[in-house]
Amino acid sequence: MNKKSKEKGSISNIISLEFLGYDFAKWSAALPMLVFFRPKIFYPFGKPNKKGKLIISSNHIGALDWVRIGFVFPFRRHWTLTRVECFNTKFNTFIFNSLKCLPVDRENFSMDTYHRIPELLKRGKIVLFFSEGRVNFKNNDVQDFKMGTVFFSVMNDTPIIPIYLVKTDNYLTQRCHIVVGKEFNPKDYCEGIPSIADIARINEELRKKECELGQWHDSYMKSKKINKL
Amino acid sequence: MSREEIISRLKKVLATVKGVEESTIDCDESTNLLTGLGLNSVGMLYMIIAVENEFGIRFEDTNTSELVTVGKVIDFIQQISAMKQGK
Repeated sequence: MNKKSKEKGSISNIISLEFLGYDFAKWSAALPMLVFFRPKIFYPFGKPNKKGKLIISSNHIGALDWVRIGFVFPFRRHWTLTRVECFNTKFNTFIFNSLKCLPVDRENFSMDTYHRIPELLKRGKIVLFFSEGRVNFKNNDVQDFKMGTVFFSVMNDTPIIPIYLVKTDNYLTQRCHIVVGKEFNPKDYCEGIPSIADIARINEELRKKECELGQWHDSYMKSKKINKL
Repeated sequence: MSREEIISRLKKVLATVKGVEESTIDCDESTNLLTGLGLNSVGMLYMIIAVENEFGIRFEDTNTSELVTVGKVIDFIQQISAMKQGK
């Protein structure tokens, strides 16, 4: 009986009306995006544990980052925190809701999203935070992080996987590089209940980890060039 | 629950959020949460979640931009507690 219900559960996990839009977008985009981006994923500090509840912290380099992150977790669905401005029309709201985006309004925040995140993490899901809070069109430097990523990680005792997306100037000549870091546990950086100052300090540590991934990629590319010469 | 009782429990919550001793929290009903207590947006969120846990309530459908002063937070706590008891 238990076995049967387990099996039923796993099928409903794969095919679900709730995720119809999400799965359609993800899998119909997968093949052209694989050809276009030719993603290459690096694990310089070993592969992190990709099971169970997770928070992903990534830099934000473009509108297709949602797809790029999907390459790292091809068989898992993720919920993404998105600026409320993206939900400006009925059509956009439908699209972003289908893609499992959660609206975030920093000035006049609704508690719905903030109650939803712990619920999702309790169910063992992945929540993606673009910790910089906006798309960085200028360069590949990691900007200051918003504290939400670390806050929800600490509050829900959830590890963070830092991901560094490398900006590509020309997709015809360059592959899309994604650098995945080791699991980051904010609880290792504080004892007891953290204060806002603790969260700010841990947030800076997380940013450092993300910068390290960028530096690793730079030195990897340099060494590759030297080897070619 | 009286307003005095709520403010004393609220001070405990604010002390946790700010990571300081409860005795150092100097606030009254007119104290502004952002300028008076120096909370940022995550600090506000932390305070609301801590208040939810402390008072066993949930800030559903609450316009958080209205939570400007300590007095306003007390109003909301009383309002939500009353609604909860009414159910």
